[in-house]
Amino acid sequence: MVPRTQPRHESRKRAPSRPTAEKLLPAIFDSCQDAIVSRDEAGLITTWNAGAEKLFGYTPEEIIGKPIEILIPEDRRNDEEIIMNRLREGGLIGYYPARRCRKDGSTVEVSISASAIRNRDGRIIGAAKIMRDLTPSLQAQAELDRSTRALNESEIRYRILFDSIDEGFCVLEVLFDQANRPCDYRILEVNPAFERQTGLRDATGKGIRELIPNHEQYWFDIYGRVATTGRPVRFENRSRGLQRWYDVYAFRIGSIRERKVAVLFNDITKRKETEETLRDAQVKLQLAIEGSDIGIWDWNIITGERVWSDRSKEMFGIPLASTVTRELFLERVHPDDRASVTTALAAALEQGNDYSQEYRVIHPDGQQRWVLTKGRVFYDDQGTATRMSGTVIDITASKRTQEESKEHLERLIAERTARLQETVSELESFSYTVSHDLRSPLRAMQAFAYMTAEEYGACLDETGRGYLKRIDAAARRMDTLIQDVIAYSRAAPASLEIMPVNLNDILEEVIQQYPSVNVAHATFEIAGQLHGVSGSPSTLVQVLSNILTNAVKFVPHGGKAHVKVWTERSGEKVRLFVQDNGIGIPEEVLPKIFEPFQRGHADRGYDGTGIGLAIARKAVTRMGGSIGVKSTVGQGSTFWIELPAST
Amino acid sequence: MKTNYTIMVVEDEENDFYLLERAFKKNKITNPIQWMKDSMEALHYLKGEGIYANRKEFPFPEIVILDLKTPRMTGLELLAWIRDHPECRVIPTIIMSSSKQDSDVQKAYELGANTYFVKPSDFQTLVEMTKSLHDYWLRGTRPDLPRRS
Repeated sequence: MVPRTQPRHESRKRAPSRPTAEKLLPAIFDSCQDAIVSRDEAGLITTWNAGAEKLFGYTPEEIIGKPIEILIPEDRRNDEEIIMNRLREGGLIGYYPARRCRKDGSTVEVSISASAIRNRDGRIIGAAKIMRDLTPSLQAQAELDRSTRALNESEIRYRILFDSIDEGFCVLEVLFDQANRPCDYRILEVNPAFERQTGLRDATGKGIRELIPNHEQYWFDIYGRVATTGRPVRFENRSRGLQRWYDVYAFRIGSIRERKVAVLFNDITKRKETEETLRDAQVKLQLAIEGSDIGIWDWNIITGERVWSDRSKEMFGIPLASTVTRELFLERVHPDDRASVTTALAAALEQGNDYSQEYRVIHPDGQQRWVLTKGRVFYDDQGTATRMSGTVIDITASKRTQEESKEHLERLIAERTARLQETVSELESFSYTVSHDLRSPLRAMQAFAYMTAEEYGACLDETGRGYLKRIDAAARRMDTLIQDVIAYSRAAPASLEIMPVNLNDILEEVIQQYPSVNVAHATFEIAGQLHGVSGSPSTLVQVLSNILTNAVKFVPHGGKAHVKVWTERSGEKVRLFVQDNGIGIPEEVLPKIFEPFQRGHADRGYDGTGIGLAIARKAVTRMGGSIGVKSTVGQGSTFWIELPAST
Repeated sequence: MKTNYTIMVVEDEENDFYLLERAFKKNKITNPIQWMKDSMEALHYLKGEGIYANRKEFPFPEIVILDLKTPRMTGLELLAWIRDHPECRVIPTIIMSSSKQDSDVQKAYELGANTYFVKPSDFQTLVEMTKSLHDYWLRGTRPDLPRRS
C-alpha cells in the first residue's frame, strides 16, 4: 500500500470501474473526518486532507511544504522526535494523545496514529499521521460525569428525606387473586417512621395479611385501584387491626405491570379522637340546649348579621321567619332598660368583658318577660372583634319568686322589728315598773319608820329605836340597789351618737364635776395630750367617772390616792390606762369584776353596789370597744379601755 | 281669794296618799282633799258624773295633784284630757311621780303640767315639798272656777 503524494483532485476525476484498494484510498483520504497529514524526511508537510484543513484551519496551499512544527506547541516540540524515533525503531503509534496548534493560535487535544513511509530500500523517508479531534468525546465524558454526580446527589437527598420524615412511607406490591381482585399487598420497602406510625416491625418483604390478619378489604381495593389506574389518591381511613386512623397519600410507581404503589401516611388517631369528642360534645350541647330552654344568638360584628335560635326569637316575641336586626332587637327591650343594654354591649365590645345583662322584654302583644342574656366577644388575629355570641334565658318566673321572696323578707323584717320594739317597750315598762312600784313601798317603810321614831320614839327603849334605824337603813340600801339596776339597764342606749372625742376634756369634766372623784385625798396625773377616740362623750363621762371613782375610793383608809392616766395607740385602736395606788383586787375576783353586782371588796368597809364597772363595760362595748384590768393586791390596779381611734 | 279650796289627789298607792295627807297635816294645811284612786275616777269627778254631780259634796278642785303611774288611765292621759277640756284646762295641775326619767318630765311639761315633783324617798322632804306647794298656790292667783248653773 503506497500512499499517493499527488493532489487528490486529479485522482478523483478518474472514475474507477471497480473498487480496489488503490482506488479506495483517495476516497478515504478525501472524506475522512480525521486529519491525515504526511511529512518528508526533512520534516516538511507533504500532504494535507480536508479533515486536516477543518481541524487546524490551514488550506493545503498554505501549509504544504511548511515544517510540521507549525502544528506543535512550543512545550511539546520533542513530541515529533519521540514519534519519529518510535517509527524508526519499527513501532507503530496508535492513539497517542497530544496537543496541537491551530491556525488561529488555539490548541486542540488530538489522538495521533502514525506510520512510517519508506522507500524501496526500506529506508524511512517520511511519516503519515492520522489525527482525531478529541474535543467532542471529552465534552461527552464531562457531561456524563456531571449527570452521574447529580443523580447521586438527588439519590442521597431522597434518602435523607425518606429516612427523616415523620410520615410513614412504604412501597407496596399489590397482589391480585385469580378473579383479578386485589387481595393482599407485599411491603417492599419502608422508611424508619413506618414502624412508629404502624407499630409493625420488620415489615419489609412481608404480606400485610400476614402482619394484620383482619386488615380491611377497602385497603386492598384502594391500592389495587391506584396500581391499575395510576391515579393517586388521598384518603383518611381507620385500620381496625392497628386500631389507628391514617391520613394516606398513595400513588403508583414503576410500570403498570409492576403493580407497585408508594404510600405516604400519617397517624391521625389523636386528631380523629379529638374530632369525635368535639362532635360528641356538640351533639350533647345541642341536646342540652334543646332540652334546657336556652336561646342561642350569634352576632357577626363585621357583616352585622344576627343569627338567633328559634327559642331566642320566641323569648323576644319575634316571628321565627323574621330576620333579627339591631332595631328590632332594641324595639323589644323595655324602654327603661334600653340604655343599660346598649351600654353593657358597648362595654363588652370595648373591654372584651363577658356580657351579662338582665332586662325586660316587651312582646308585641304587650306581655312583659324578664330575660338574662350572656355573651362573649370573639377576636381575629389582629385583635379586631369579629363576632359575639351567647345565650338568653327567660327568668320571668325566678324574678317573680325573687320579688315575692323580697316582699316576704321585708314582711318578715317588719314583723321582727315590731316584735323587737314590743320587747324593748316591754323592757322599758319593766324597768319603769321596777323603779316606781318597787320603790314606793320602800318609801312607805322609810317614812313610817321615821314617823314612828318621831312620834312614838319616847315610848320605845334604845333597842326599839335601833330596830327602827335598821329598818330605815335597809330600806335606803334597797332603794340604792334599785336605782343602780335602773342605771345599768338604761346605760348606753343602743343608738349612741359616735363622734371624735377629746379624752383630756372628758377627764377634766369628770374630775371637776364628780364629787365622788374630786375628793380631797386624791391627786391626778394626766400624761400630756391624750390620743383622740371615737365614742359618745356623755357615755364616756359615765364610764370614766365610774373608773375614777373606784380609783380614788379603794385606797387604804386614811391614805392618799394617786391616779395616773395615759393613752397608747396601736394601729386603729387607742387604749386609755387608769392606774391607781389602791388596795388592789384579789385574783379570784378579777374575772367577775365587770359582772353586775360583783364587788371586789365586799364587807371590807367600802360601800357600793358593784354596778359601776358593769355599767362601764356595757357602755364601752356599745361604743365598739373593750375594757380590762390588771391588779396586784396591795400595789394597785390599772384599768384600761380600748376604743377606735378618732383619726 | 278663798283659802279653803279643794285639792284633788290622784294616787293609786294608799301609802303614798296617806303620807301626802300626813305631810299636809304636818304643815297645818286643812284644805279638803279629794282622793281619787285612779285617773278614770278623777275623770268622772271632773265631769260631774254620777255621784259627783253633787258639787256641794264634791266641789270642783282648784288644784290637782297627779301621779303618773295610775291604773286604767295614766296620769299623762288624764293631764292631756284636762288640758284639752274647755273648763278644766285652767286648773293648776301638779305632777307627783316617783319617775325621774327625762322622758316623763318632758312629756308632762309638754302637756301643760304646772309643776313636776319627784316623790322624795324620805318623809321630811315630802313635808317640805307640800309646804312650798301650798305656799306657792295660796299666794299665787288661781283662775276662777267655772260657774255651774
